[in-house]
Amino acid sequence: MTSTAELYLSLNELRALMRRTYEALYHHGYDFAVMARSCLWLEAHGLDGIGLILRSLPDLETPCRDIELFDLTPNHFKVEGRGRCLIPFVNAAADLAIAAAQDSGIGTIDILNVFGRLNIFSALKKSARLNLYAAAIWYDAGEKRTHILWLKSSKELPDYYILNETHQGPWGESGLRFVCAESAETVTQNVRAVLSEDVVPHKTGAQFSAAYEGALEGGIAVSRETYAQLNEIADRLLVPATDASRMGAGE
Amino acid sequence: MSLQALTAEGLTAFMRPAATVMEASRLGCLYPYPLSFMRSLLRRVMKQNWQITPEILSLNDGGYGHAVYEIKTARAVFSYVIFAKNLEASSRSDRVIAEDWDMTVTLCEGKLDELRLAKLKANVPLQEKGRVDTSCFVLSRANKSVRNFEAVVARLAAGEQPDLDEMAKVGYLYRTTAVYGSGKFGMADWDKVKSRWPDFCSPFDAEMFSCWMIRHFSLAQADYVAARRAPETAVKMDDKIKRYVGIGNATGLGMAPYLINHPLLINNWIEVRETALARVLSSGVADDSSRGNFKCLILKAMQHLDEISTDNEDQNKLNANARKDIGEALEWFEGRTVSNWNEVIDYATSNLSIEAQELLNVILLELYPDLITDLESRLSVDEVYSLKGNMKAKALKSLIETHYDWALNIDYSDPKTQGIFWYRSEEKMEPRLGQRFEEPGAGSEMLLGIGWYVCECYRELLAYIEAQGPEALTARFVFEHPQHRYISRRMQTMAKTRYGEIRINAIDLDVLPIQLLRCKLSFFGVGKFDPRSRMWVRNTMFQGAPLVSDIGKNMDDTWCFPIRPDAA
Repeated sequence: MTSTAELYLSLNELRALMRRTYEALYHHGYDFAVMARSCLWLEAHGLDGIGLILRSLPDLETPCRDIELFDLTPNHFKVEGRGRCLIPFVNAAADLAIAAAQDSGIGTIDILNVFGRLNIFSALKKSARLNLYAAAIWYDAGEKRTHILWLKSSKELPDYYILNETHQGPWGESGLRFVCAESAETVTQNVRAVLSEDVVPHKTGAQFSAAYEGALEGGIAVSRETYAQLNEIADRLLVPATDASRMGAGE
Repeated sequence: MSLQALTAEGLTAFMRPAATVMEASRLGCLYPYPLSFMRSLLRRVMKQNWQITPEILSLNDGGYGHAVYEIKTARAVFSYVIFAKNLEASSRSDRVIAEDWDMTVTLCEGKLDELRLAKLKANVPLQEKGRVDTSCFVLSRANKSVRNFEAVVARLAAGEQPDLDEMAKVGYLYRTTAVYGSGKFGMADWDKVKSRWPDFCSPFDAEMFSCWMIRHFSLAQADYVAARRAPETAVKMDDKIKRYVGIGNATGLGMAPYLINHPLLINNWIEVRETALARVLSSGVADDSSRGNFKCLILKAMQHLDEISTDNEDQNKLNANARKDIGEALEWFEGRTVSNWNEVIDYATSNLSIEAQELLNVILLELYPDLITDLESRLSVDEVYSLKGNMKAKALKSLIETHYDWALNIDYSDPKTQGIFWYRSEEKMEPRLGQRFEEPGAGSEMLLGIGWYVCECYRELLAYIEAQGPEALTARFVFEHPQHRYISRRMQTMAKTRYGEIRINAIDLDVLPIQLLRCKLSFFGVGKFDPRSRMWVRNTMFQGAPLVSDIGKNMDDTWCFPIRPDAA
């Protein structure tokens, strides 16, 4: 129940808070509902979705209309992110690769010069729901580590690998590649180019699933400070009350 | 229910079209029916013989204190916890923005120890300002109808039963003013409730159960206070009268956004209801017995309408017209031998008001419980609104024209059609309506004017097709127009359903949110609508319903259209 240090929010409560937060940031300029769900999924699966948002807030305060999309081939796309946070456009970018995979068997999108790349997680969940295989690969120049989310055959959640080594691909030092396909082998080929067979996952899909069950069972711990910070943004949506506004709504 | 399932049942020909069913003006005329949530819940409670016993009744002479009821089902044990206090009249308000109540309650898993009870005591009376944990799954509160409660207690204390004329006017001792579930304020998420506690796995089961328990406590409290006030003379309220006492409810704008924000769920509820009607029309045999029951139910419904007390002139007219109409339907019915219920539907469609048509539909549904009650297991649905990115732009255009023609037909160049905006007030985030061209706040508008967003998307889609060609993909369109991603995936999802969206322009200057409220309340099982404005309504829940003490008795599920006990 109540504690001075932290609150336990239900998943629904966190999702509602995130919806209002994104709605306050962008009003209806982006799909705030799916952005909120993406954050919730990260948090509920133990991937610090709230932390990602808080670290991205200075960037999120301004719309990212200046990103550019390029067609490399009919099923391979490139987005120039201009150093922006991935959150507002990650789902729409992944849609392109997923649509291409549904139509031609494989779809790839390279998203360059962005941060907050773990937000691609929800795109792998969507791929699973559509019976597709998928992977996201990125290199973190600051940590000098390579990250791989890999949705393998018959899984609902990806395995997550972190390699303490450099694998710079076409995505550069601050980009990522998301590849999605109808065939497991196509995705495997992409992943095996950077991941050897003896590496064990940092987190498995089963561990993500267990984290989600734990969050559903007991709620998600959020510090009161963080809760207040998010509410401060979300509350920008609230309209001051007047006598006129109270009329007719009840007695 | 899937289209395939309906086809398999051979019901498609008997299903009413979406253009008829989903009009807000018709949805605002719905009545409770046998699959309404409180009816379904109580059938299960009675059938499964739930054991509900007071574990703690720590009340003073005024009935104030706390109570804990233990609920034993075949699968689990739950605790229902009540905190009752003496509330100053000046603090009593039914608004969401109230901060104190006569009674606050929670429903939680398992038995309570002293520590858990103490934590609940520190938080439940605070409602929105408190926090509970995921062992709780309903948080609610209620206010006394002070005049009625005191009058009832005074009569019981004097050894008399309550005045039925007065009871017929009010119909309850307490009014609920908010019933929270689904993870609010730290409670268990709906996904946990439905998977972990199957006793409450249908929509709003737990919330309805909580209201039934508030009604139970209100009756127990009245008996208790009367007995304490006059131990020598007091009598308990007669069970027949107790069954006539419901639980009041005040429902405001907060309920309306739910219907617009959950179109898949609402489509499902409507589809189940229409499927039930289609089953009756296709398989319900009109014989002497069912024809007799039909006539009895019409008479009962007429009596019920006669007894509804409201100051709202419009509602009085609706009730009077509905009563007159079904009276005429009865005359028509008695003049022939109906052999097929479709004859009744055809007569009603051609001759009666929408209110009366929907009333007769409910009466038909009441005749054949065996044909329809299995449908109550289909009321829940997983809501996923996924973008189909590989849909071609021309297909999206066609989809909008086919399934959202009602929205495209709204002329948004007329300021009246967007004269209202919905917003969250700084007072407890209460949803309110503002006049778009007169009041500030439209920049914080809630996304509820679905028709407007459909039209904006359609307009830009046409331009996009002009520029990129009809073969362009939806994924590309929404990447370049991210403001349309939400409405696009919503439209793609709803186009696959039988009934689709509620057809309402929620931002029209003359919008009637009360139509949405009544629609949802009818699915709850609520009756006796008493509109107080176009934005909120008083109503009565569980009037005529079995009592907790009726569990274990052979109770028929026939408590529709409650009427005063001396007329029953």
